[in-house]
Amino acid sequence: MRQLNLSSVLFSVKDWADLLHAVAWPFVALVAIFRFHSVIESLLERVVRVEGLGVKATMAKLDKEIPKAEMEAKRLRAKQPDIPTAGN
Amino acid sequence: MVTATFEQQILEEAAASPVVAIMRLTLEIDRELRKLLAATGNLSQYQGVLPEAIGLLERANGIELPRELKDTLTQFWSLRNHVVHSQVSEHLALRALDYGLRILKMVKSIPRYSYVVVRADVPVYANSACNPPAREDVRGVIIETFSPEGKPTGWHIFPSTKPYSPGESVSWEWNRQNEKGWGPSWYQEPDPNDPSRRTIKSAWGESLEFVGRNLEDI
Repeated sequence: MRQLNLSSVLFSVKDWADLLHAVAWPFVALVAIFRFHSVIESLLERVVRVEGLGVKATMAKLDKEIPKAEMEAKRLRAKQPDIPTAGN
Repeated sequence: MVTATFEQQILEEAAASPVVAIMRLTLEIDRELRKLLAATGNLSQYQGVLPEAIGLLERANGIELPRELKDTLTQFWSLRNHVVHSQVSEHLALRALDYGLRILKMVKSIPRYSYVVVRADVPVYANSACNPPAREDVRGVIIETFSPEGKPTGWHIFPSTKPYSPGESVSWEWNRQNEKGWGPSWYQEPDPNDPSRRTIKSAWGESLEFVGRNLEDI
């Protein structure tokens, strides 16, 4: 098997820096996750809470809008008392 | 109306799995919206996203919707997606079911035109004397239209290659692929008092093919 001689392909400081960057960033990410996990956790909790608030807001809107729509549907139907039922 | 049995089935389903129940309920709402779209001739444009159906119905003629229905359906659709795709409490899922059942009742109660087959498989002729042979590639179907008030507004004969049965409630759909349609045609109308006597009537000058489906198949 052919051995790759790094010094034969990495000529400049920039080449070495690029290699280091490519290899090192996953380790940096792991360290960052380990170091800042509590901050990340609280951010995720906040996202979940915001989503929960979204659901609450949706239900609040439905609580408000459905009775209005039901009244309107009743009014429209009252205008047309002899309507055949759906499917007939 | 939403039948007590359907509501009961959904609630029984919810006891085992609220998510399955809400998925089934959404399918039923979708089916009712399809029926409404079919009655207005807009079914082919519907892609299956509930709020989009209301958009199509708002632009359709001959149908009046509660103003809040679009908003309500949009909110329900988003809640349904949340219930189906996230881990939610049983309480939330049951509330979503309640909203869905109320929306279904509303959609079912919307007044709409209806179309009923009066006579099917009527031989039609290319000549005004109705001399045989009848057209081989098409038959006539006589459709009676009922207004949203349930009053008959008249009947018409249309060309169709589909089989129909008298009494069937059908959707308002046309085959736009067959732009050629059929030219002037005539048919024989039996005398209601004496079936042996027939009157020749004009069927159509030109017409697309009627391809309405039985509403139960939508």
